[in-house]
Amino acid sequence: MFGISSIYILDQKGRVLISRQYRNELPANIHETFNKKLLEYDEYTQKPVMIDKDGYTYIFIRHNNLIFMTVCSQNANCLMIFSFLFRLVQVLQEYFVNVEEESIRDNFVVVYELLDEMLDNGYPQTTEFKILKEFIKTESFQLKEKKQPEPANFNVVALVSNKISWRKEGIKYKKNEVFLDVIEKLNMLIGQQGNVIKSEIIGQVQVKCMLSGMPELKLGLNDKAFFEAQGRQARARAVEFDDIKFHQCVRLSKFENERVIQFIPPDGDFELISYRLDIRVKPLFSVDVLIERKSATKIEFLVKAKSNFKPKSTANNVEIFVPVPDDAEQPQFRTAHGSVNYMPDKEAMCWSIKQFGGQRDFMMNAVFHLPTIVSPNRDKFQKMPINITFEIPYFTVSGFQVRYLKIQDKSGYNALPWVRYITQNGEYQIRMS
Amino acid sequence: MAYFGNNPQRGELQELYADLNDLNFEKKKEAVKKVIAYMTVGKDVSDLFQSVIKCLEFNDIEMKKLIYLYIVNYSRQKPDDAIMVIQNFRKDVRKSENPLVRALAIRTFGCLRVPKLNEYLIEPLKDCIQDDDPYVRKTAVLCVPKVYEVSPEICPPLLEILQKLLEKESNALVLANLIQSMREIEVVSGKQIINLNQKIIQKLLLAVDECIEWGQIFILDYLATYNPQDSKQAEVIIERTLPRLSHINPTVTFCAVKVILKYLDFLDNGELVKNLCKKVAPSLISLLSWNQPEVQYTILRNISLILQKFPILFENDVKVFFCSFNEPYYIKYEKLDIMVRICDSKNFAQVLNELLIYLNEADPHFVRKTIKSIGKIAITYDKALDKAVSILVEFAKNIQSPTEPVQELLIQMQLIYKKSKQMYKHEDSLKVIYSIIDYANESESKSACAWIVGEFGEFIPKSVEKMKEYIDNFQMEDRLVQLQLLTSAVQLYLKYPSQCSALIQQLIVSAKDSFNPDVRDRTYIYWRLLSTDPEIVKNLVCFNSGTFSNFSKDLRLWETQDLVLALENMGSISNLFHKLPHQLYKNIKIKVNNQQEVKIYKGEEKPETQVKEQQDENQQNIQKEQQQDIDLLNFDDPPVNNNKNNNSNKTDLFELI
Repeated sequence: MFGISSIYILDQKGRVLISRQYRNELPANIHETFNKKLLEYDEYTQKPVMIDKDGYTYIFIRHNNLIFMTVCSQNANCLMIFSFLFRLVQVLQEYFVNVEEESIRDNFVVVYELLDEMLDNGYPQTTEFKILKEFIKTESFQLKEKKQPEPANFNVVALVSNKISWRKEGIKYKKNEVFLDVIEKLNMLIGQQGNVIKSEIIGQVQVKCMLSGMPELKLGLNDKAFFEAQGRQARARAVEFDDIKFHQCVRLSKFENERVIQFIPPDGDFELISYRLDIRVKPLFSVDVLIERKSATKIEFLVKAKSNFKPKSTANNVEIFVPVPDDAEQPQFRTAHGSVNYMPDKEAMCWSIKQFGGQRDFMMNAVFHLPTIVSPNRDKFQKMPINITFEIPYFTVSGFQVRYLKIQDKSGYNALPWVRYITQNGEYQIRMS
Repeated sequence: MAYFGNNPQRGELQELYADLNDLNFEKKKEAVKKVIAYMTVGKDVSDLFQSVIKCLEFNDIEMKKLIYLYIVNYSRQKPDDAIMVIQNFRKDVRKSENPLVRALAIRTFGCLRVPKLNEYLIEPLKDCIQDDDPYVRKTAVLCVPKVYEVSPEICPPLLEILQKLLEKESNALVLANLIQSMREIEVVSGKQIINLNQKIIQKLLLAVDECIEWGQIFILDYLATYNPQDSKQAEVIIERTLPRLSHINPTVTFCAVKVILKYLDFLDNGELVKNLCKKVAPSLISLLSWNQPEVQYTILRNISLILQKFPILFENDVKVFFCSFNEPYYIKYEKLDIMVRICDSKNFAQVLNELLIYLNEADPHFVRKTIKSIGKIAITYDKALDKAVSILVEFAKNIQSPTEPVQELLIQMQLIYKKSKQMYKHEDSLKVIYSIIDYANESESKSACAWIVGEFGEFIPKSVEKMKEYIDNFQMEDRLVQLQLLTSAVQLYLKYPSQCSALIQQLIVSAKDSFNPDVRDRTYIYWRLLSTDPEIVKNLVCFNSGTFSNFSKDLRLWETQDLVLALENMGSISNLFHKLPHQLYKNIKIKVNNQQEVKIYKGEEKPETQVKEQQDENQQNIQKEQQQDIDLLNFDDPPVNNNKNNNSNKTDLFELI
């Protein structure tokens, strides 16, 4: 397994903004070979990995009109490179907020410094923003802070090679608080008869940590496997995770053996847990569409949306996208709830309802005029799925709950944990026919 | 030459030159930045080498980094000037109190890649590998492969130091980089450099727990190439690897999967193997629905390999591979491919229902592949025939133009009819297919149509006229179509001798002088036979449905003996292209060939019994659940087993795609 030979940041037109070589010599204009290669493919055949006739592999991702591209002349670990590229973008975002052509150009010195520190001989090294920012600073950073005396760097070095590389010593807050956000996204594919074809919950726990010192945290969840490991009767509402992944601060072996989530958190925002549940859930929303062709030039939609969650919950910002013929025009909408917009570019109408209570159903009626010259793809819309977006606060589909969060620090301060729950749509689709 | 191309105007260079030599520090620094900016966009600023180097005198880290960047870029062009920098490097490495500066110097030094400079590098590098500060050590160990690449002859003393360090190093990060470096040199040189012992393995396992994520990847990835001594050791390593399945970095998870899968072969305990499979499968499935399609894609490309060795992992999970509407097409193609692979007589209805939806996709090539997959499933599973034909017929009814999918549809219908002639009655399929027969415009689909006209002449109204139409255009067709036309026309002649005699005459006249020897020969054979004994011709050209069993073929994506090596390279570029490393990279040294020989040996000798056991286990499982099932997923049968268990009905879908 080898490392990355060189890395490029290219603009929309394939011009080089940043280039850094790490390994053996590559042809000077290899990015031009890449640009040519890109043109060989269309939207259907384009893949994120390409190989040219000389055996150079191009692995790339796109971000805001930029292309982050690496060239490998040897058999590198492709998955690792993708992970690294995404991390690079993430770190740049922490530095410049908007990662785009202008911010890269304006900060090219910092970008070079970062690339120098994050990769060595083409292998990823330190990629933790919280550490990098300690010794690679943008000019705006530097202006605000006093110039660090030289010895400060020693701490940094210790940090890089330390066991706990994500947190530095000596953090202080007046008020010690932790905020947990439990966000569940529901991926769902529903057939035309309302049958669930695929359902999956992707959850994550986002943490905002404002704690002093080096606190040790212990998080308790209603995890079925935990109760079983403890020999206790599982509670009725315990959750059985199919897969659960943690931020690197969590002691994974402790979790594997005892199902206890214990960690020293990084400072500030980070994603602590991501999990996946492969359980069959009832659709939160179901949508029926009745299509009536009144005449050759007129089509009528009767859309009925129903919510199936408990009445005490309310979904916010519900948007239902119903596909319509690509040449439909002169829309007329009628509904007692929310508002409807025609979106010709998406070949759909969007019915938005600000608040959608549980166990409610709403109706909407739409009439479109169709031109007499029939578009070749007129019937395509019936094959496209209905998409729904929504947010349901104070609710998790899976029943995920934080049972406790214990915070312990040597100094013995009291800290307050706060927890919020929300359920959102992931890929939530209903097939029309 | 400065007047052409990208080079800065002479005036600009002179201005920079002046600024670089200015006494004002800020001005110098600005000038250095400008130089780097020029360099980035590909302008040649190598003429400023001397002036830039002089700026190194200032003890400013940021500026130092920039200048080093410049030196790395141009040292190969100006090796003689670069020698002047050596003193600075050595001074930094030896004298600097700041580990950052020491590390920076040694890192940059390694990047020069000028053979004659490397001898000056050896001593400082030795010092740095033994530095007190782990940050310097972790940088220095990565420097060794850089030097080795350019001047391997001066490296032996360095390699010794590395091995010593491997034995005594305790810092996890240094250890991870060290393993990575030594491994790289092993591959490049083809020699064994890492000498493992029990203690070092223990240390590596401990380091996995303490290391940053990338270091975990290096160590796990290396462990996946190691062959444990016995079942006990394999068990210990797996146990220490398991927690990594919960890591947030997909590559760490995947490397952990890799290690576990590799070591399964070495376990004695069948129960444990089963349990481990249950643990690994959900992690893999999570990676498949990762929110970055690029990551998904890499995993999907590796799944075929995993499926071939561990079909048990995805036994009941075909749904995982269902495509969603908004996914990029490169994901959809992979998923479609895998869905057909894991389709069996239990879930084919589910798969077909899903494929039905894909017929509506926008990409004609994808729709074509979907049709091909449907055909393949139909041919493989008798029970699936009815449903598959219904789907295809329904699709055919809406066809209005000669698109790409139509070609595939005709080809697949021909195959289905070959498999089971009776299918022409199902849903009136023949009538529907015949109505779109004129849309054929590829030679393969045309020949399929010719076959259909000949085979079903008696059920098609005006089949003779149709054949006449084809024969009128005979000269313009491809060889493939011509050959089929000959056979089909003769077939039709046998059915309607009086109506077709003129037709056959016309055909023979136009075909007997063909430039293509195949076509010419076949014409003469039919001609002679027809004039001697038409009965023989009948036996020759009339297709007997039911004899069509040559679909059963054994096409595995990977050769069995390659599996072990491929598994060790999971996640790498070569696997992504479904190749072995040395097939893709010719310059990978002999070591790999040696290695491969060893691995073939081990893949067949030692693990074989275990593989068999596992298989038997698999088979039992499968047999329990589905009594007389075609076992598609069992790719791994060693030849002996094959003969025992194979019957002629056993078919393999893969060949057909």
